[in-house]
Amino acid sequence: MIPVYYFVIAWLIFLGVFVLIALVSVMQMLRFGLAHWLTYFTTVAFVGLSAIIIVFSLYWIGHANLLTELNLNSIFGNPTMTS
Amino acid sequence: MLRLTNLPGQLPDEKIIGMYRRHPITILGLLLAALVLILLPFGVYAYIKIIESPVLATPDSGLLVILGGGIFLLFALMFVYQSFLDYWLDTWIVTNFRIINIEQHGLFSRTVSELRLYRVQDVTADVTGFMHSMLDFGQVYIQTAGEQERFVFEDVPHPNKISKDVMNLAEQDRKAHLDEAMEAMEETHENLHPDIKERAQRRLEP
Repeated sequence: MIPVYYFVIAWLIFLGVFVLIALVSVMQMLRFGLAHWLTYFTTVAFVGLSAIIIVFSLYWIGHANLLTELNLNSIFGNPTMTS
Repeated sequence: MLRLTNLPGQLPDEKIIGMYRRHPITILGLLLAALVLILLPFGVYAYIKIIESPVLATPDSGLLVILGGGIFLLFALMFVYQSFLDYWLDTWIVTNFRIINIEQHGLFSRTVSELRLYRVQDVTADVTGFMHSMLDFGQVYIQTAGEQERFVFEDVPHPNKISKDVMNLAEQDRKAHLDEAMEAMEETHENLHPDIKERAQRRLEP
């Protein structure tokens, strides 16, 4: 039985790594990219889509009971929940 | 940010003749793979819905799917962005005085090199392969005086036209910088094998 917040912590670590690499990528693009509409468009699209995914995930985290424990052995067949 | 009106180390009266990148078809395969990666979580979600798996039965177990799918999507998006960055930041700029070669290797490695046009000795355009011939893109090799390494424009559109333009520009620049061009020629001559040098000398003798 693993509490849901363990998965949220793991997700936050992955998110931290993503944000770090994303910041460096955007910085490189804006520093060395050609002053052109496509440079701005791709950067805005990348940041915007990433923000949508993160906000959507946070919305789900906000509405979940993080103390719920999941039985991973049976989750793909018959999930067992205890609060 | 790189501005064409303000090139690195811009010389007075320097004008941009052309700016080249790899043909967009070269990143098409990569973008298609990325598209599959991005659509994959949605496909898995649809599959789970169709087979009515209990994974999405409660909000808490559904949260795992959202978290896993979300992080997968984020990294797939980053893969696409970095692939585009790698393509977009590789640029070759030809001005009336020099050629600037800007290459991005990954996220943290960047090479900027330039050569003066009067040093250009030989320009070769190479179009090999079905796709390259159909869409007219390929390599342009620029051999410079006194240097072993060649400048290569990789997978640029219309390589034959570019090579002709570079050759013409080099000719004009050589006329304008005759002294420097002669020095570059002598430098190349010094690098030649002694036998070749001797034969060339013999030919020049009356």
